[in-house]
This record gives sequence, structure tokens and C-alpha cells, in this order.
Amino acid sequence: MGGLLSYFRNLLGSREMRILILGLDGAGKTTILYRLQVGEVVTTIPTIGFNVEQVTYKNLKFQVWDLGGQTSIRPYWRCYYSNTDAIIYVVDSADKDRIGISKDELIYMLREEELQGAILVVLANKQDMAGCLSVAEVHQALGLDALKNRTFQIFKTSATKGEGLDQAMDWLSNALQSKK
Amino acid sequence: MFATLKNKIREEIGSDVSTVVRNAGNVRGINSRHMSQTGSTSSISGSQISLDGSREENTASPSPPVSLKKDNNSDLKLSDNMQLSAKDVKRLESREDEWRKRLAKKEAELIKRMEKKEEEWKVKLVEKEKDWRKVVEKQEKEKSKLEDELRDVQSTKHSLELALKDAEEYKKKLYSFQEDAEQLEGFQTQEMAKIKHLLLAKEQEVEEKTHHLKAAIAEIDNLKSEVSRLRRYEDELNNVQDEMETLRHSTQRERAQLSCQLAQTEEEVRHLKDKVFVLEQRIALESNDQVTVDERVADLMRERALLERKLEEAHLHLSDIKTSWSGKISSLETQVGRLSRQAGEEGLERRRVEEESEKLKQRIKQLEAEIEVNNVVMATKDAKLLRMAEDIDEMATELKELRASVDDEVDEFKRQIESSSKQITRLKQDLEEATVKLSTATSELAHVRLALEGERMNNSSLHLEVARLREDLESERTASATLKVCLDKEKTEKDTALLRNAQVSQDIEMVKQENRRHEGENIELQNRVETLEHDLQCKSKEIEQTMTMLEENKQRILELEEVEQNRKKMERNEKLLKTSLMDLEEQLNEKTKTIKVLQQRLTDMKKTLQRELRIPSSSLDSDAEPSAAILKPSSSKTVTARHNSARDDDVNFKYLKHVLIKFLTSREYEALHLTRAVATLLHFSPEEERLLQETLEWKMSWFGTRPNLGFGQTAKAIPPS
Repeated sequence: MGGLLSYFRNLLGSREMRILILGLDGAGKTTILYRLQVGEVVTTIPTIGFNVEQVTYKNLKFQVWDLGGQTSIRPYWRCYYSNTDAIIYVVDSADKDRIGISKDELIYMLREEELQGAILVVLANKQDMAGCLSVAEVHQALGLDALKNRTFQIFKTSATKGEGLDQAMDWLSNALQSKK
Repeated sequence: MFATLKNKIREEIGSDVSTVVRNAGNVRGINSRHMSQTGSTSSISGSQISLDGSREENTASPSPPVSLKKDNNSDLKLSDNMQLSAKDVKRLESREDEWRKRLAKKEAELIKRMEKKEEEWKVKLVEKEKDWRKVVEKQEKEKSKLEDELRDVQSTKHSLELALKDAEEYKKKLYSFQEDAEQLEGFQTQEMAKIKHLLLAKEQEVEEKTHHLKAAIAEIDNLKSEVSRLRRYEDELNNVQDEMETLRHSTQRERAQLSCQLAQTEEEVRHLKDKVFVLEQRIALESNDQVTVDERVADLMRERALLERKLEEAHLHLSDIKTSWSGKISSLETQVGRLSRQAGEEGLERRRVEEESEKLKQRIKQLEAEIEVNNVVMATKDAKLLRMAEDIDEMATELKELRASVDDEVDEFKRQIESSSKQITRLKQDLEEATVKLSTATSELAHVRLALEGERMNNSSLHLEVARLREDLESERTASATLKVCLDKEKTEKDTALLRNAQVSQDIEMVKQENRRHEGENIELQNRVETLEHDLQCKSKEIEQTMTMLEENKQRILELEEVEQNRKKMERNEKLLKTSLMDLEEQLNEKTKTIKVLQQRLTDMKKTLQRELRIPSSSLDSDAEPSAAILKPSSSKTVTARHNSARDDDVNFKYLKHVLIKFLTSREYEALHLTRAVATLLHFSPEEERLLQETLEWKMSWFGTRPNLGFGQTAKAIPPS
């Protein structure tokens, strides 16, 4: 049955874009996922496992995978890398202590062979929190200056207030369409 | 005194006083001949210059008036005492004669003068007349000039009116031009809209084509997959058809055999029936017993004939059968031929199918080429679009330029119109001014004529004046007498003046004394000034000293500022060093963190490696123990990760549970994405992972073979029931 569906889906010509949302635990990945899908803030529990949702943005269909970011299950991220079109990397701008870990995870992830063609969107989340790092500081802290041969963009967002997500999705959809 | 007198004289004579006075002087000179020349001149000069000057001169030379005084005294005596000697009478007569002569002379002089004056006046009049005539001529000339100017102005006015008309025409033209430009603009916008519409239509066409292409590609893919799918089927179909043919053949053969058998048995039955009939007949005959041998023979003969007939029948039947066999053989042969023909046809069909597939491939290629062509066309269309947009831009700029030039022209025309109108107004003003001038000139002419008449009148009045002057002369004589009286008065005044002079000299001395006193004061003051200057110099020196001090202080301040700056720099450096130290510490912390993370990861990797190394052997033995495979690493984890192993296990287990539930509940298409995660979580060997994936793909596909899952004890799947 699934084969039949996928067959017809292929016949219609529009393949779903596969997007991964990654980031440390508590960065707001699940909140962002459901903000994108239903457009409102839902109460979330720590994701041990993953969430998959189909998000339609401007007639583009995305299959968005939100993978749990806890330390012990972070190594399993690489199991989901194949056939990925884009990565949304979420950073907690208020968590200054662990931004180094976040940077290491990002660099480690970007080294993967399967992700060489993937577009990267970095979201400096929780911009509404007092004393958070600015976009430029996050940019610097993640060492994005050294990033080459990669289509990427950084955005400041606040998932709870819904700010900045539209710009990010606009950019991402444009980048994906131009890549296609 | 003299001033008032002078004024009076002036009033009465109407000419300058000096000449009259000179005459008077002369008279006086005659009156007192012994008077020195200096005295007379002095008196004249006294009358000419101010009163003070005459006084001074009097003080300077007091002798002449004294002599005059004497003379006067003698005269007085004469008048009072009436002591007149003959000599005196003679003298007086001679003097009278002299006076008369003088008077006659004077009169002659005056008459001469009058004549001269008249002549002068006449000359003046003539000159004036000439002047006026000249003026009139000039005015007339000016008038003519002005008229000319007026004409010029009118002509210029005409020309300007013409220019104005031209300008209005230009204006009209301009408006028409502007309208044209606007029309052009409208056309342009329309054209642009058309072009845009065309572009949109083209884009739509292109989109449709792309859609078409996509659909075609999809169809091609579909057809390809179908062809691949059908190829397999073809073989099967062929096999099945072959089998069917063979089966049909065998059944037909069997049927033929069976029919043959049936015919044989029927034949046998018939034969046996005949035999039974014959034997029954025989039995019937034998049962009779009364039958003779002949009868028996006849019977036997009959029987024989019957048998012979039967034999013949059998022969006939045999021949029939033979013919039927040969027919059957021929039919079989024809069937064989037909089969071979069918085989040929099938071969042909196969070739046709192959050709068709080739055709389809060619078509695919063609379509791909078409796609490329379409892409190229799209690119060219895009380029055209860009070029058109550029053209549009160029046209817009041209339009703007045109508009700007038109505006400029309009401005220029407006300016011309304005200037021409200004000129017209100016010329009109000039004209008015000229007419005004003309009127003024004519009025002046009239005025001048009036003046001329007035002059004539004046002339007559001058004649009258001459008469009056004669009268004046008379009165002058009386005046001379009064003057004498005045002279006396003057002398008394002079005495008083001398007294005043003495007083004044006293005053001067007093003033001089005071002056001396002032000089003393002055010297004192100068001394004081000198001391003050000295003080000032001292002060200036002090100031210089203080200035030098100030400069020193400034230098010191500068030095201090430099020191301050150095201090600041040092502070900044210190700050920088501190911040760098902080940064370095932070970096160190980060580094340690990353080292920790890396260590953790290394341990993870180690663990996974260990697991990978361990699992294949275990999985070979028993694949039904994935739980053991999960649990094993946890035990090894306790060795490497001392703390939070339990929590980690818990999290790992939860994760495994979650992923497995998702894997099991989702459709194959989604589950395919999870095979890797499941394999990693359950530490599958690469073969097992591949097996899982293949199984899922098999489930997804409609056809295809089930992957080899082994059999017996090593089987990976429950065998199908």
C-alpha cells in the first residue's frame, strides 16, 4: 500500500523535502516543529526519540524530523542523515555555558559525508530571553565564519513568540527551490 | 556798523559794495589830499576786511587818524564860527568846482557804465536769444529724434507683436508636441502592456510545456517501469503459452486415442454381437437336431458367406481407417506447419515488441532532447525577456529625455515670451517717457518764450533802474555826509577799544603766569608719568617672568598629561591583557569541555566498536536475542561511564522503545527511514540491516521476490504457511 502511495506521489512530481531539526536538548526544536506545523505554541516534554511532521509552507511540502537532543541519544542522529535536503540547527542563545558543546556537535555533524549537499539553517533561538547572545555573537561562537562550501544562513528567532521563523522558512524554501 | 552799512548800500545800488566804496575812498582821498596813500588803502582794506582787522591796523599805525582828526577840527570851526576868509572862500569854491568836476566825471562814468551795462545786457540778450534758439532747435531736434524713436518703438512693437504671435504659435506647437508626447507615452505603455501580456502568455506556455514535459517524463518513467515489469511477464507468458500448447496437444492426442479406443471397442462389440448372433443361430440349429447335413452345410456355407462378407467389411473398414489415418496425418502435418508459422509470427511479434521498445527509447531520447531544447528556448526567452525589459527601460529613459527636452524648449519659449513682453512694456514706457519729454520740451519752449518776454520786460525795468540809480547818487551824497558822522562815532569807539586792549594785555600776563604754573604742574606730572612708566616696565618684566613660569607650568602640565596618557595606555593594555586572559581561560574551558565531549564520544565509539566486534559472533548463533544485544553494552557501559549509566540506560531504553514503536506502527515507506536507527540501536550486523531493508522494500513493492531469509535453524523469518 505504502509503495502504491509513494508511487503515485512520485507520479505527481513533487517529492517531499526531508528536513532535520537538530540541536542540544532544551534548545526548542520540538516547539519550533509544532509552531511550524500548527502555528501555535504547544507544551512539550523532553523528546526521547523523535517527532516527524508534514509541514506545508507556501505550497512546498516538507517532512520535518525533530530528533531528540539529549547527550546519550545524540550519537543516533547520524542514523537519520541519509537523503536529507536541509538541516535546521537550533541553538539556545541564552545558554552561554553549552554553546561550545553546540558548536562541537554542529561541526561534527557537518563533517558527515551524507550531509555534504544539505542546506544549513541556524536558528539563534530564545532571543526573547534577557541577557541572551546576539545573532552576531552566536555566529561567532559557532565558528560559522570558517564554514565553506555550504549554503547556510543564520536567523534570530523566538519560537514562543513566533518571531523570525517566517524569514527562516522563506529563505529555506527559496534555497531548496533554487537548489532543485 | 560797516556791515549794516554795506548791506544798506547793496540794497540800494544792487551791485557790489566794493566798487562803490572804492569810489567813496577816492572821494575821501580828494577830500583829504594830504592823507598818505597808506591810510586810504588801510581804510579801504578796513572796510573790506572784518572790523577786528581794521582795529588792529589802527593800533599798529595810529598816526593817520590823528591827522584826520585835526582836519576835522578845522572844519568844525568853520561851521561853528563862520569865520570865512577870502582864501577860504576861494579854497571852498575851488573845492566846490573840484567836487562838481568830480560829480560830472562820476556822472559821465555812471552814464558810461550804464551804457556799457546796456550794451552788455543787449549782448547778453542776444546771446540769450541765441541760446534759446539753440535750445529750441535742440528741443526740436530732440522732438524729431523722439518721434523717430517713437516710430522705431512702434516698429519694434510691431516686430515684437509678430514675435509674440510666433511665440504663441510656438506655444501651440509645443502643446501639440506635448500631446503627441503623451500620446506616444500612452502608446508606449500600451505596447509595454502588450509585451508584458505576451511575456506572460509565453511564460504560461513555457510553464505548460514544462508541465507537459514533466508529465511526459513521468509517463516515460512509468512506461519504463512497466516495460521492465512486463518483460518479466513476457517470459512467463511465453512459458505459460508453451505449456498450454503442449497441454492442448497432449489432450487432443489423448482424446484421439480415447476415441480410437472407443471405436475399437464399439467395433469389437459389434463383432462380438455378430458372433453372438451367428452362434445363437447355430445353437438354434443345433437345438433343432432334425437338421440335415445339407442344411448344416448350407448353414455353414451361409455362415461362411456371412463371415466372408464381414471380412470384406473389415477390409473395407480397414481401408477406411487407413484413409482416415492418412487424412489425420495430413491434418497433423498442416497443424505442424501452422505451428511453425505461429512460431515465426511470434518471433516477428517479439521483434516488433523489441522495435517498439527501441522506438520508445528513441522517443525518450527525443523527449529529453526536446526538454533540453525547451530549456534552451526558456533560457532564450528569459534572455529575450531581459532584453525587452532593457528595451523598455531604454524607451522610458528616452521618453524622459524627450520630455526633459520638451520641457526645456517650453521653458525657453516662455522665457522668450516673457522677455519680448518685457521689451514691449519697456518700449511702451520709453514711448511714454518720450511723449512726456516732448510735452515737457514744448512746455519749456513756451516757458522760454515767456522768459524772453520777461527779459524784455527786465530791460525796460533796467532803464527805469538807471533812472532810479541817478536818484540814488543823490541820496549817496547825503549818505556821504552821514558817513562822516559815522566816522566820528567810530573814533570814539576806537578809544574804548584801546582801553580794552590794555585790559586784555593784563589778562594775557595773568594767563601767562597761570601758564607757568601749569607748566610746573606739567613737569610734576611728567615726573609722575616717568615713575609710572618705570613701574610699568617693572610690571612688564614681572609679567614676562610669570609668562615664562606659565610656559614652564604648561610644559609640566603637558608632561603630566603624557604621563597620564601613558598610564591610561598601560591601563588599557592591562585591560586588554585581562580580557585576553579571560578569553584564553574561556577557550581553555571550552577546550576542556570539547575534550570531555570528545572523550565521551570516543568512549561511545569504543563501546560501539566493542559491540560491533562482539555482536556478529552472537548474532550468528541466535538472532532471536536482540534484547541481549541491547543489554550487553549496558554492562560494558558501566565500566566506561561511571555515573549516570543507569539514567543513560533508561534514556537509551526509552529511545529504543520509542523508535521501535514508531518503526512497527509506521508504513513501510516511513519505516524505511528508520531501518538505520533500528539497526544501530539493536546493533545489527550489516547483513541483517540489509536484510531488513530488503524485506521492507519487498513489502513495499507489488512484485518481486522475497529476499532469501534462510531456512532451518538459521532462518530469519517465519516460513509462509
